[in-house]
Amino acid sequence: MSSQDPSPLAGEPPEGELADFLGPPPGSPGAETWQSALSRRLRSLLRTAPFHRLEAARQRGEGDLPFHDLRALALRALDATIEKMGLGEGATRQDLDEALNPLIRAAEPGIAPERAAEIVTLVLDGLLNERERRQAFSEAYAEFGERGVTARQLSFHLLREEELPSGLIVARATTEGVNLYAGMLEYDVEDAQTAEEAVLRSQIRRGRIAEAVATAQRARLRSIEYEGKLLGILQTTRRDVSQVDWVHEVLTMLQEARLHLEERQEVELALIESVEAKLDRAEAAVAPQYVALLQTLKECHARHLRLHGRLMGANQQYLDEQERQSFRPRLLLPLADLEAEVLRPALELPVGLVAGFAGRLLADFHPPRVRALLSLPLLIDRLLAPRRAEEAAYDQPSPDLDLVDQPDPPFTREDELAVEDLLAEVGTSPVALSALLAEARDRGLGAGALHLLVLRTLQVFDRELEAIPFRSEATGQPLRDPAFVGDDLWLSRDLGRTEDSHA
Amino acid sequence: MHDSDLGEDVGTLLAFALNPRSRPGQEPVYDELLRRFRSEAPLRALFLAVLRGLGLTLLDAGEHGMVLGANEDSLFALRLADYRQNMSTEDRLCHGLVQLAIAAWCFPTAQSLADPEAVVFQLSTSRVVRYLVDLCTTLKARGEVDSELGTPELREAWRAVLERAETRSTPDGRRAPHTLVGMVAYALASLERGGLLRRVSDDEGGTYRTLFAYRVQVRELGVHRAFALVQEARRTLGTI
Repeated sequence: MSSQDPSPLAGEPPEGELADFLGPPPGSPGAETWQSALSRRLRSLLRTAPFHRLEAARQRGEGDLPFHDLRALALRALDATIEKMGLGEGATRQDLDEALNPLIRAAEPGIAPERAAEIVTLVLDGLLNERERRQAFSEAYAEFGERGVTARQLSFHLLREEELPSGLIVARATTEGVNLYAGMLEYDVEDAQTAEEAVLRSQIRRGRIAEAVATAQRARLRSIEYEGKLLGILQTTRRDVSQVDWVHEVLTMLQEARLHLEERQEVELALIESVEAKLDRAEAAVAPQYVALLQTLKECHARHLRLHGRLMGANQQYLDEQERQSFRPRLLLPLADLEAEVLRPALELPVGLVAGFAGRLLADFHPPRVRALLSLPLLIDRLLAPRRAEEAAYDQPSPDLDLVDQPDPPFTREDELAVEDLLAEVGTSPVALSALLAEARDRGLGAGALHLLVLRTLQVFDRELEAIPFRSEATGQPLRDPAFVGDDLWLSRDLGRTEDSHA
Repeated sequence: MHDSDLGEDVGTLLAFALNPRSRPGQEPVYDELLRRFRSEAPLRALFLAVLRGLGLTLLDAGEHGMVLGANEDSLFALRLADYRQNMSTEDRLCHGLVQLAIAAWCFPTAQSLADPEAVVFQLSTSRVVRYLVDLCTTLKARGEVDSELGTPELREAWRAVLERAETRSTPDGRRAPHTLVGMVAYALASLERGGLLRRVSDDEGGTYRTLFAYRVQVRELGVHRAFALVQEARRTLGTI
């Protein structure tokens, strides 16, 4: 095939990274000059820079990771994130740990879980641009035009974290991230999708099912990408109506999107039908592949259907948002550069002046504070509640503590052994605690051992301690003992628990 | 609907809005009231009127819930003494600048504040301290000439900040509330209590993530007021 090929439907389409070197997608207007083609390819290349930096840092010895290919891990992280976006929300840290752990273990069997988690963090930090405080990756490049060379910057994000309304924080791939993963940089999603489906149709027709499954999976990626693009615009609208040009840009785009989706749905239905027809006649060996193909196609179709529904409601949503946001006391001031225009000048002001308005600064960056009132019922509840782990108190000086010798343990090893011996003799027929205590005294056990015996008996009541192989029941009589008071108990061996504890 | 019913709904919604832990995604009553706030004009009008009366401003009412801001003279505005008691002039100065530094760490430029996707950042005590100290060191390198002039009140603020950075004598910064480390840790914990950050771990003196509400707080309120305060101070000095 060649870049002059008039239609991608006739032959194989441009695929993967190769596509970027073959010129614009078929159907896009106008041939490009070598200068613009160079810039386009250069930009595609630059978007992979974060991956190389990650790996280069590893090779320099940062993190001490001789066995791992961080580029591969980063690509897998992107892949897993996109998969999770396919189901709706995005990937949690746990999802990503689960996706990367098999790769990490394959490279370094027996790696400690904490160490594996550190590697995942390293990879995610690289994709989020943690080093630059999660600002956009910014790559400088030279653009060659007719008037010479211009220095330019390419800014992009690959992965971003988002807070869901439930409070859960998930990672999502940006459009650039999905594009990079799909290997279809610089393509209009719509064109790529059409091309992908044409290939799919031809592969199904020719019975090349394994390839068709791969193509369908790529088509699904396209769908996710498309959905991401549209939802991104709708989301921006929801957050801030003033940032989108609804009438000129968005309405046109929505119109195009609706047409595109309607076309796709027709094509998908036709494909699903033809695959179903083939599946009926398929040999057993290839049937699973047909089923996989069918599943992927149906998922794409369902996704497009859902997206179509959302697009139909988009205009109304915009009108609602506009009304909702109109109450916002939007300050008509432009946003300031916090670092250059606020923090730096403030640092250069005299101490007295800044201290004078420091209180207002504190208030302006804090939400409204509800002053606490003492509630007696709440206070009592709190006082009676079991202790919780203490929150770190930053301004409390730590008390001066002296080291003291470790106190003697309350029970000696001999006490423990004696009590174990005694309890080992308890069988399935109940024995009274008072009898056990009397027996212990007969054997000459000391006060410590007697105390331990009573404590061990009380442990039986803790349902969470599975290792105690006893059952106990009140005898209904008070405990007659010179040293202890309370109810007397029947103690017997619990066979169910005994087996558990042996297992 | 009865006026008193409407009043009760407004009160309930306000209680949700003022509680930094409430999330519409987890509380159906809140979610429903938010939906009604958007669609029912009488409820919305009454709610906004109550807010005005209390000296509060609605900054956002989207899927993440309501984000409110306090006017300067509002009963709900954070006061210095609420934040921390018995602060010296220099303590006040540093605590104020630390707030600015945290916001600038996340949103250094107008562009980053305008980006609706820039929501979740990960920051830690040591990273913010390093950022602030680096900024002060740059200023020091630039303006070393006219040092040690006048009273302590007339020195540039960065000198006072750098002094606090150097007094970090104990390895555990939390023990020294008057060092920069102690103050940044305190500030992050305070923002966390306000529901603007979430604590992730104890690494680096306390690691946090910013939440949606923090972006709203900075973008809709903090940046404008802080810019105005600094401009006004510079005008007083005659530097602009």
